[in-house]
Amino acid sequence: MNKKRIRVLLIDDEEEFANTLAERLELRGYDTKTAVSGEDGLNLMNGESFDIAVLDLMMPGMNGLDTLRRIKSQTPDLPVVLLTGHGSTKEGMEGMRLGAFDYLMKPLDIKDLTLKILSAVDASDGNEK
Amino acid sequence: MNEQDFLKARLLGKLTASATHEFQNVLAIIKESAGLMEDVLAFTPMEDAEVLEQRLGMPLSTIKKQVARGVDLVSCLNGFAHSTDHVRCKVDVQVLVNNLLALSRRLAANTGVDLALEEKETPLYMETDAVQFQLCIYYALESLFSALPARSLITLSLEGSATLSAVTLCATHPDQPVPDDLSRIICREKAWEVLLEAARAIQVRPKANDTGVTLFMDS
Repeated sequence: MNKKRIRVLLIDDEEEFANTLAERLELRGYDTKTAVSGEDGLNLMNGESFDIAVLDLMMPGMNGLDTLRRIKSQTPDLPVVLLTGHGSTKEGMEGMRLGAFDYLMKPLDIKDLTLKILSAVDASDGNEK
Repeated sequence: MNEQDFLKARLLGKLTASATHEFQNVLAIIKESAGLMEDVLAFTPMEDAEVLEQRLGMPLSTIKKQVARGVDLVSCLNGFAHSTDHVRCKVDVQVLVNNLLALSRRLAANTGVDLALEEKETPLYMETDAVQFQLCIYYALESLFSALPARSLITLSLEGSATLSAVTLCATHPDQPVPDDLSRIICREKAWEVLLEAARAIQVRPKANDTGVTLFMDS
């Protein structure tokens, strides 16, 4: 069986966090690209396509919610999972109102993230059919 | 709270909240790095993988446990910092008190006392000056710290349905009864005077008794 690998765009200004998490996702069979700012993430999206974006909310420059707005206006069907700090649930809820699939608290559990990615991609595939 | 006091508290809160965000990132990187090491052990087939896992399993589990401890503390500190956001607002009392206790636990332990909160299944809300309210709880605790023998436990319970009517601080000891003149000892403490002053500002009425302190919400 040749199952298609899920392409993940991970946007987080903490480069070491993003790279380590990307490596963990790769080990689990996901194709993962990282971007260290909202602008970088949007540029990557112009050049290639992804099945899901995982987006940190608290970033300098273009913050997570602004990036989310841009992603949703550019590719409305791309599911987005948000990463928030503890104590930032308000921003997470606001993100969902803006169209994010869900949010997770940082530091996160890799199992929670992969489950969330799978259900977001499944839901998105279901919507397309 | 007057404007200047609010701005002082707000500055401390803003800087603390900003720092807790950075701490969360630090802990997230440590957690992912430990997770990656676990993954490498689990995913890479090697002859001596079992030996490596035996040697690395314990330190990796310690890192994860300590990261979880750090995350809990930083989350409480973040919540505490954000309690300075408004002069007056609606607060979830259980969350507020839980954060305060987590951050006071070391101070209590220095006097040999442990702290606990009786969990309530449904949240209790209150419209108040959150900083002033925490000031009251903290000084009620401090008035008990030096009045109690080592190894005492102070259990806080929240009374009321939907809105808070009282906070009870009840002292117990595993081997001996609490001092029978506890209320007199409490009222001699400097912290008690501070509590009375702080409580007046938000219509809270502290009462010392034979097992500890009760704070009645008069507002």
